[in-house]
Amino acid sequence: MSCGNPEGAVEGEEKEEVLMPTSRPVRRVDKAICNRCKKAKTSFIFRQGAYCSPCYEISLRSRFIRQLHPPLRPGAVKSTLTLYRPVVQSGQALIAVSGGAGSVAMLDMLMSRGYISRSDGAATNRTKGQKEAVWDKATVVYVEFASVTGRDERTEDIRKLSEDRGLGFIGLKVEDVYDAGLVSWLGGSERNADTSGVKVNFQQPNLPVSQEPTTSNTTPVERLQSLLASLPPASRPSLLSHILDHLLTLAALTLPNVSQLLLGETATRLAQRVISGTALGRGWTLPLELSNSFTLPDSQIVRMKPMKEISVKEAALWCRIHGLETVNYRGWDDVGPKGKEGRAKGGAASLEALTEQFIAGLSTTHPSTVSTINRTGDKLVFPGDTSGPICPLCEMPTEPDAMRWKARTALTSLTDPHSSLGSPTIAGIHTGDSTHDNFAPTLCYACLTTLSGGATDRTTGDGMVNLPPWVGQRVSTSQRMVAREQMREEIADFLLATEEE
Amino acid sequence: MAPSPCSLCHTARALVKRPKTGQQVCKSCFYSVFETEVHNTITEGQGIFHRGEKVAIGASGGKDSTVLAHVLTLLNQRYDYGLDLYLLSIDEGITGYRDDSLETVKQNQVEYGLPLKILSYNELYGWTMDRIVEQVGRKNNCTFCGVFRRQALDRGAAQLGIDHIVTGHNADDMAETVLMNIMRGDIARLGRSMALTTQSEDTIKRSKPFKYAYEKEIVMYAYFKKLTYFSTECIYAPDAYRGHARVFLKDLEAIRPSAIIDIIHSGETFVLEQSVQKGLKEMQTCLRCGYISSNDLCKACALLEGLEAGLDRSALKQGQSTLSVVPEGHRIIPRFERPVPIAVEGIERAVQSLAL
Repeated sequence: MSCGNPEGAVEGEEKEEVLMPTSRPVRRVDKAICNRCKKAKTSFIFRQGAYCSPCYEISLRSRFIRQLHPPLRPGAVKSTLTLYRPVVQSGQALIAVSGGAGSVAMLDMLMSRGYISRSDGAATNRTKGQKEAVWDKATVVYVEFASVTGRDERTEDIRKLSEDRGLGFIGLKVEDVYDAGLVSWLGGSERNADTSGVKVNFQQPNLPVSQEPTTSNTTPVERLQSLLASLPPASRPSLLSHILDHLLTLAALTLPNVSQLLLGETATRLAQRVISGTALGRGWTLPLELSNSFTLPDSQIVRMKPMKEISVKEAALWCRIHGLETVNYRGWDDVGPKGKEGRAKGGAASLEALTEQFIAGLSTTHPSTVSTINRTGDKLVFPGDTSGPICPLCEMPTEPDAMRWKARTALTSLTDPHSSLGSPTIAGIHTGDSTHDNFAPTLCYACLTTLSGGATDRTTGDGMVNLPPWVGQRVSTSQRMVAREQMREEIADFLLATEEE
Repeated sequence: MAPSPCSLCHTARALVKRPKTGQQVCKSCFYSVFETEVHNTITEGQGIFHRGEKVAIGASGGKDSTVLAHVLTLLNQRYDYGLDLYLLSIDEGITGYRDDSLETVKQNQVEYGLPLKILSYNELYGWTMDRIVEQVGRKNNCTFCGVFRRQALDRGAAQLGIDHIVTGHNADDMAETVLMNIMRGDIARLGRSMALTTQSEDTIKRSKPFKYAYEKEIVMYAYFKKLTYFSTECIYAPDAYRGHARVFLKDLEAIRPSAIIDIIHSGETFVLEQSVQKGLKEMQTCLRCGYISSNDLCKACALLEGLEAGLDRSALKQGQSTLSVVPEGHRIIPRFERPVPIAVEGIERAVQSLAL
């Protein structure tokens, strides 16, 4: 590092020199001895801290419970949040396990510390220091992506991992998003109309949708592969991420009596999410995505991320110590046919993969990169209303006026270039238009960017591609939903004052 | 292969692929969309200017400020903003770097008929960057330059009675700043850096009309309009942390060209916790030179004191302890005087036009 920031230099909003703070001089300590207990021989050195094996585990566990306990004890005084074990939860825990280090370590920590009752029915013996379980029951959910990534299936491995620990197991496949019977299979009842035949035309900028009879000769895998192939390679990981989120949410909402959905997202993955989410234009809803305590829409189920203070490397080391097998490569960057689109120097085809490489590279020279990024992410708050319109694809709140913003800043047509501000349009989408047959106006800023450029040369035939049924359902709901502006217009004559007044 | 028609006018032959949207457009339509987007930025909300305002264009002779001077002059005439435009340049005193680029600024002065003011570090602080680097070395010299330049621009503007400074910060710079601020956890700047116009209580208003203009499109505009400019890559610029962010941004752009504008969009929608906003320091004026500062002594005065004391890099750590007494023989920065807040000439002109 050659430059640092001037200390206390906040008198201007912009400085030419905005550089990484130089690292403080490292205190010279004997790294051969554990820095924590000062007795045992060092086994691991992480970010300038030397640990023996037991102290390393204690360090990880304390960071784990610091994130696990608060959402389970919402009313507790802050100082006592992590000290005491939460009371037994009313529902069961749904633990999402991908087979990566984060989720496997999370599962192991939950089980080894007795957070979940074992199915052997053994009673807790408090006189022997055993602590009462927080969940009486838990189920592991795994989503298999092998059909699109071409990698080996791991469903049976994860099933074994779960059943060995006496947990229930639900194995889903990514193509199940096209399976009309999925909800019934999970134990729920189908309440919505069949929307498996909703198709979108990627050749038109407005992304028009139409309801067509489902062709019986295409399998769910073929439909998913066709959807992925019609998108630019850079957009495919985003779509897969939304599918994963949807399947996990669906499982949580459908399985009986789920009270918490636990994700093993590590600090490293969250830092990647902060940067790639920003680059995808997802800044507005980013605080919701990063939250460790997010209540799923229309339910009381809380989505938690108790691994958010533990890096993937630390989790991987935990798994190694405990002899747990993990696979940490998603392979989402290589899904679908290769396009002519640009790739970064390292060969990454998506913003997510590039960010992953970038953060991993930067962390070697700046070890605090991940924690610094996450600290920034933690300071963000969601300014909107979660009860407002929802994006059909990512199922997050849509940001008001985002399309108008894009239309002003990146013109793609000009009615009158010399007028002060014609009718702002973006890629042919009329922002003031309430066309009800189009998919584009219902999408959030980031999802529209994801689906835009679903290039004509990738789609075949009539260019129509099957949307996953949940998206079709959301589109038809949002088309029926009356906008607040429209309501206001109808009652404008009777309003005496604005709401703010 | 038959030439593609322009995606906007559908008649002329497409000549360029717009880096921002990927559309193939003709030269004339490219000018139109580029200029209209800048105009949209300027007129957003209540607009960043008001009639009769005296506006200084921070001109370095590089591509951004050269194109900004051209476009702003053009838009001022086309849309009748009624602005009094000036060129304001800062001479940091870097031999073989700034002296060449200032020639471009002088050329702009003649071409657009805009008054030019050049203010040098030597004149203001009694130091040139060459001498500063000689004393403090190449490491951290950018800190001195950045702090001094900001003040110099405000002081130059104050001398001209300017109400508003516009700078050539482009979309790439903005996106890079967002990424930088996230990566180094600078919450305070993350919130402030995205504003189109900034003004503290006692500083001159600053705006970035090129906030949404891609760097590549600025170069493209200069190329087709045959505008000449100098490379402003400073000879003392180190391979700093910002370099990592810039390379990363270029890679993001290679994968998805809209990433730059998407990052800016994210940056604009970020809302920080109340506690973070409250934790920011209150602004005051420097007790020595009268410039806006978060401490009793502004950073420029503190740095200058370190330089005058003959310190090397440790001048950066100059604290607030020696505040009350200026050591004997040390040069100090002249007192900062704010311009008269009302644009008198603008009002006079408005009255005259009414009389006519």
